Order: sequence, then C-alpha cells, then structure tokens
Amino acid sequence: MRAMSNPDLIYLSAFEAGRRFRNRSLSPVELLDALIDRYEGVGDTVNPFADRYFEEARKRARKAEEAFAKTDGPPGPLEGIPLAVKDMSNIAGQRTTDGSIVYENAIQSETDPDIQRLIDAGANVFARTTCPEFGWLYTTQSRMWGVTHNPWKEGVSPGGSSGGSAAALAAGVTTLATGSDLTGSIRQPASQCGVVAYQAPYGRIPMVGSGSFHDYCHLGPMTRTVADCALMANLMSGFDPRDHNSLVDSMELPTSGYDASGMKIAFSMDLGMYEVSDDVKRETLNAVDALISGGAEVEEIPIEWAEEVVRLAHGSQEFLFAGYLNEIVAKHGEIVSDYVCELVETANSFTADDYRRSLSLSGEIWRDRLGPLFQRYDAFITPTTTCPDIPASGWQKSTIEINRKKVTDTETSMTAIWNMFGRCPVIAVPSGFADSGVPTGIQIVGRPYDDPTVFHIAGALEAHKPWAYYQGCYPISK
Amino acid sequence: MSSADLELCYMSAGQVLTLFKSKALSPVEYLENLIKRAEETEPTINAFAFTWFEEAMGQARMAEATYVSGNVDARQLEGLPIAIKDEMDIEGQPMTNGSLYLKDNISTETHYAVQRLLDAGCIVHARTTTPEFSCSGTADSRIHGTTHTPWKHGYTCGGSSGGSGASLAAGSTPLATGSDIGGSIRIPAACCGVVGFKPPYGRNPDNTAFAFDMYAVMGPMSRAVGDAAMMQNILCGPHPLDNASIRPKYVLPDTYDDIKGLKIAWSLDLGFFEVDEHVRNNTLATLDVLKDLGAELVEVDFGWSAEADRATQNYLDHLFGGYIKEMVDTDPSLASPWAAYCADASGKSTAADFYAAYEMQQTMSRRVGAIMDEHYAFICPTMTYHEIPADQYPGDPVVINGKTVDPLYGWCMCHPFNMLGRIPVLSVPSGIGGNGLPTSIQITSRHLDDERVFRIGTALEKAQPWLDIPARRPSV
Repeated sequence: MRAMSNPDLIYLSAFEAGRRFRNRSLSPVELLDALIDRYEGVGDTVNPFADRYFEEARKRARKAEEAFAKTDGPPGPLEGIPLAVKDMSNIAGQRTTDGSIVYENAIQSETDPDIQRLIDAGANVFARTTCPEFGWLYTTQSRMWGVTHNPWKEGVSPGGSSGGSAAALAAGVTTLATGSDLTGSIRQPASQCGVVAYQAPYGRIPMVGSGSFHDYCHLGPMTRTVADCALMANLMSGFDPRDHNSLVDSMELPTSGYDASGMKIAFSMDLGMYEVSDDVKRETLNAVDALISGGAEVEEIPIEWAEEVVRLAHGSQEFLFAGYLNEIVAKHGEIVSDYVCELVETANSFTADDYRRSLSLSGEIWRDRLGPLFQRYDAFITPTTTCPDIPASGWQKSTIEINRKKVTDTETSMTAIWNMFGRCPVIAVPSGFADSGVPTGIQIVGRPYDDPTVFHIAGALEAHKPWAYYQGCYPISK
Repeated sequence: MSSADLELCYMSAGQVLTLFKSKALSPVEYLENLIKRAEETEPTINAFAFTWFEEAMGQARMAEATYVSGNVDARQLEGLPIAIKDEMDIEGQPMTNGSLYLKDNISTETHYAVQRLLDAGCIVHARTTTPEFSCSGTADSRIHGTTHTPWKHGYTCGGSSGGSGASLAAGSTPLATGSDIGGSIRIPAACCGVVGFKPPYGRNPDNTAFAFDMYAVMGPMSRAVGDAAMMQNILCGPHPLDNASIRPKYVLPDTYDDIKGLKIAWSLDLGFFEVDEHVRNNTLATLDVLKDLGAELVEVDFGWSAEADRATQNYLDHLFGGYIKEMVDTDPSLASPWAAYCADASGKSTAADFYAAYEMQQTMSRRVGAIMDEHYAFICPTMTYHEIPADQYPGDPVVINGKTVDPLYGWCMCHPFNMLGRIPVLSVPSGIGGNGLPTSIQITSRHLDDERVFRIGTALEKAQPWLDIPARRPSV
C-alpha cells in the first residue's frame, strides 16, 4: 500500500473539480490520473472496482481537456468528471454481471437512462463498482468479485449492495458513483463508508430494467458532498417515455444555500424495535444537536408499530426475488455464491398472502401512522444502521453482537421501511464515527415527492457538523 | 315525466351549474326532477343501493338559499347531486361493497377524493350498486340484486361501478364515482353508453388498503366529457394520508384544441381479443369520424399476447382475489357466485408468477411506451362483446364469434391498462350496435399525459354526440 500522494485531488468534489477545470488550474487528465494512481495503491486492499476502463477513460479525459481549452461553447456540467458505475447498471458495450458468474459474459446492448444522462453531461465512466451477487447482501462479497472492504477499516463491510461505490468514494478512487436500492442498498453502504447517497421518490429517476414496476426499487447518486449529490440527482431525474412509472414533473434540487432553520424534524433512535449500539446513539445525538444549532426543531417521537412493517418490507422483497432466483439456482446452482441458495430457501417460506399483506399494511400504516406524522413534521430522522461493525465477508445469516444481544446483519440496517414508502425522498449522510473508527450515518426522510427539504437538512448538517474529507480526515492515509 | 323535465335530467352537470348560478334553475327543483326520474327508472334498472333523498333535499334547500343570497359563498359544485359507488366510504353511511359480509358496516371515515367532492358542494342523493367486493364485470349481488343496462332489460350495465353507469344513462344523476382495478369504471361506462375516466395511478388519493396497488384507481363517471374533466380536477391531487398520490396536482384544461393533424394509433383487438361485429363496425366508424376531423389514423401492433393477458390475470386473481378469499372464508354460505369464483381463483399464485407479472409489465410497457411516444394517442374498443346477461353466472360460457372466452376477462379490453396503470384512459361511446346495446372506445395516451385523452374525447363528442337527443337515449 502506498501513501496517499495528493489528497487534495482525489477527494475533490465534482463541483470543485469542475470549477478548476473551467479556470484551467486542473485538467481532467490530471484528476483521472490521480485517482488511478490512488487505485493502484489501495485497490488490492479495498477491492472497490469490478471492470475497469482506464485506457478508454484516459482518452476521454484528454478530449475533455481539449474541450476546456477551447473557447467555443461551454462543456457539459460533468465534463471530465470521473464516475464509477455500479455493476448492476447497464452501459451499452460493457458487461453487467450483477456480481454473478452467471452473467460474466452479459454484454449489454443499451445504456440505462440515468447513466446515459450522466454520460451526456460529460461524466467519464472509468470503472464499474462491485456488488454482492444479484445485489442481495448488506455486505459486498461474491464468487465473481471477491470481498470488498471498508476503506476505514479492513475486515469491516463497506455495506451492500452498492458497497463498491461507497468504498470507492471513501477511498478516494472516484469523484462520483452510482448505486441502486431495494431495501437499503444505496443508503446502508453510504453510512458504512461515511459518504452521501440519495434515494429519490419512486419515478423521479427513470429505470428501464425489470425493477421499473417495482416501487421498492431505486437508482441513485452516491457522492461525498450534499451539493454533488444534488447535482447528480438533477441530471439523473426526469421523464423518460420508456419507463412507465417515470414522473412527468421535474424537480430542481438546490446545490447551495442549504438552510434548515425553522424546520420541524421528528426523530427516532430505534423505530421502537432495533438494537442500537451506544456509539451509534452518541453520534446520532451529535448530529441532532448540530441540526438544532442549524436552527431546526428536533423532537424525539415514540414509534410502536414498526415491527410487522419491517418484517414484511424485507419478506416481500425476498418473496419477489425468490421468484427470480429459484430459476437461476435450478439452472446455475453450481456457480452461484452459497448465500444465494440459502436466500432462496428462506424466501420460499414467505407466502403470496404475506406479499398481499405487505401491500395492504403499507396503505394502513401510511394512513394511520406515517401520513399523520408527516403532517406535523417536515422530515423524519433515524440512524441508517444500528452498528457499523459488520464483517466484510458476512451475509444474511451472520450474527453481530450489539449491547450483548445477537442480531443478524439484516437487523442492523434500518433502511427497508423507506423502500416500502418509496415516494418519500431519503438522503443518507454521515453522523460521525463509531468507537471502531468506522463511520456512522443518519437517514433524513421527507414527505412524498418533497425532495428539496431533505437536501436543506442534509446541507445544514454538513455545514454544522462537517464529516470526513473536508477535515483532512481520510481513510488509509498512512 | 314531461319531455322538458326529462331534458333537465339529461343536461350536463356543467350546464346545470350555469343555470344554478344564473338562478334560472334551483337545486331543489333539479333534485326533485332527478328523484322523480329515479322513481320511474329504478324498478327496471336497480342502479341505487341506498338513497338519501330526504337528506339531499334538505341540502338542496340550503344550496338554493346560497344561490339566492347572491352566490358569494357558492362553491364550485354547490348543490349538484352526485351518486357515490357503494364501495367508497362516507362517514356515517353504510358501505357494503355489494356484500352481505359488510351489510351492517357503517363507514367511520370518508374516502379522501369523495371528501373533495363534498367540500366542493356536491350532494350525495344516492349510493350506486356494485357486485360483491366489486369483483366482476356485471353488477349482480345477493345484497343489492341485479342491475340492468337502461338500454335493454336483461343485459348487464357492466361492473363493477354498474349502478353508477346505469344511473347516468337513465338520467337519475348528473355525476357518479367509479373505481377500477381491472376495468370497473370503463366496463359500465361502455355497457351504459356514458363517459368514464380511469386516471393514471397516483392521481386521485385513496384511503383503502388498495392505495399501494398500482392497478387500483378511482375516477369520475359522467355523460359529458367536460363533466368528467371538471370532476377529475376536483378528485385529483396529493393527499397527505396517501403515500402514492402524486405531487404536484395535475390540472386538466377547460378548453381543448381541435385534433387536426394529430397522429392517432389504433388496434381493434390488441392482438389477441375476439371482437364482435357490433363493436368492430362502430369502432371503425368512429375512427372514420376522427379521420374526418383531420387526425391521421395508424393501425399498430402492441405485440402483446395472451401470455401477457394471463400475467395480468394472475396478479389480479391473487392480490384482489386474496382480499376476497379472506372474507369468503369466514362464512362461504354468504358469498355471491362471483365472489366465490374469485376467492377460488386466488391463492394459486407463486412467487414466480408475481415476478413474471412485474417482468411482463416492463416488457409490455417498453413496447407501448415506444408506440405512444410516436403517436398522440391510442384507441381500441372498451369491450369486445356486449350481450352479457345482467345476472351472468361464472359457470356460463361466454362465446364470441363462435369462440369460448374467459368469462371474467375475455370480453373486456380494460385490464391491460391497469397493468400499465399510469396510462390515462377515457372510455366514450362509439355508437349503438345492431343489437340495441351501446358500444365504446378507450382513448389512451402515453403515461401521465391525461390532457391528450380529453382533447380527443372532446372533439369526438362534438362530432358524434351521444345522449343529447331523445333518439340517442335509452327508453327505460
């Protein structure tokens, strides 16, 4: 492992990099080279990347450099900005493996609309990021890509399934990244690695794959700053006729001037059911204090109804997923990771009636509990995970000890409930560090389709309690 | 009933409100007329499950006073009677959903969209019949009996919002509500020769357990296209207690341009339905009318198959049927035949069926999305065959063009647009068949572009009017 040569470059925000490209104090080639150099140093340890396209990317960076050198016409808003795309999104001509040997030759014929928009804006896709097989786990390990580690602590999970993206951002090997989320796969890795991620309301960011009719399913940006996250979300959002559920009305998120003063925020430490570790509690309360310093009014509220909701939020997804995986396992049982076979077994115990119950329960809970709550509060905050110390090679049946109680790694992610209520915007931001040195995080949930509010709160938190990277605090710095 | 009084019964809601405002007509006088009409037609058609005529008269007198006092407090629909389907809650009123299981059920809250109608000044003078749990394409239940189309006794008014369709066609209400999970607004609109709008999922808020079911919506039913648009603008918009209701509110315009030069795609059978001659002839004639108005008509192939159809049915059988089964299992002796049929069809779906339904939705929508993107709108029949007995029994075969089709899904072309639930669908009459029964078309557009279907519906209504003169009305 090499010492980090130029932290100022590899941890630059996209906004700052773009500004420096425009005033020509930095070239897209220089930035890309610094990131690749960093990858050469830490890639073997962290393992954030799946396929890499460094040489093609260097060519595009040189073109971007030329574009900035010319005076005719302004380059795109992400011109020359390095972007790492999760190995579950499609790019024409590249393979998407979904973290599985089953798809090791699955070359794609079309590019997903959200990724296409980022590319059209000038983003330079130079690598694909690792995920667990079929995106299932809260860790990132597969037969296809091996184990991905948390840059803040080797052996600890970077989260999953967008674990490669989160690890790449934290390790300083990319400027921007993308993720996807079915029960927390954008937000949980963001929390584990101390970065920012956004789950937009269902339909805001178009999707043309099989998840497009599934309101738990989201694509979203992953970044190190709130403004970068807004910048990416603005580009990825908007109507696409190919996605039947894509919303017509566009929503412009603020990229500056974040202000949470006067906002009324509800807060729950554990949704009345999760076992939360002491250090996560401490960091969450610190974040709450920072928001209060930012002028927000934060009120802790009791939640007594979440247990069945959370159980069905997870179970319903396992049920649907089993419909897909049964066939895969029957055909390719020999080459899939062990946890895939285990998952199918568990999922098959969930019945179609349970699935129906998950739909009607979500209607009831919103009507009776969450709807009234959001009439009183502008946003709702909980920790993202209950304890970040999850082993990197863990899976759904791994046990973790919190407050001397044994829980599974699934029970450490407080995220799935917000997939059930997928029209609520949710931004995940860092809250601090656990005693182990691994980051902790909170989720800020807004009213359905009210995206700007959560950005204002996240931006206020960033201003009052800046997280890593701003503070010269980087992982693997020695 | 005198012909002048009958004219009043068939007047559009928009015109009635204009007369209220100009004090040329009193809400009391108007409601008296409707009640008289209901008394005349109900013994034959049986559209109303419950009536609230006395309470409604009391409200009409208050509305009259509001208008007389100079109208400053008059709300948008002040004093306008409306019939609400016996499937939507109104606090303090019975809501049986056509079922003996719910015969003593009194609602403890009001459906969010219905509340908006009440807040706009509507008077609920009647609740309309629906089959048990609103689960069939007819309106026939043990609790409410059989509802007939006003056009021909013995034939169905369609379902499930059957009483709503029948009362509109009979002239006993100017507006009615419907709900639609597999065609339940559009089927009765077609069987009764009236207008029904299935809004895109997420437009109109819902308080029921189906709020998260992307197949299920509620929407307006009326005689005039403009009335449906006016009503839809009231029903629509985000509600804090429905997570899926889309923000911001979508507002339909008051007026529409002509359709000259618009490229309209069409299909007679969506590639796999059996369509009878009456529906075929009237659909083609209606397409000619649109062509005469300057539209460019293009026949298209969605590339759908019976397999796609089956995927929709699996989904509905399971999710919707499962809800019914839960009720029926408590005491099977109370169930109507269709409820028993749906309960029986449920519970057979596997995780693979569900996953396949989601995949099929995606596959179908990609193809439709591409076609809709190239065309302003798409038109197909609402129903393929209208000669369904009012008391259709699940075991009786339905035969179209000599072919036996599915008794529940085989004669309605509606459910694919529940599977693609974001598509707006306006069902409007296309004429009267040689069998004396009305036929209809579905006007659809790309998803979430409601204005388009109303633009075409408005143009068609002007060129090929329905229910406007006695000769084009049913004689009950």
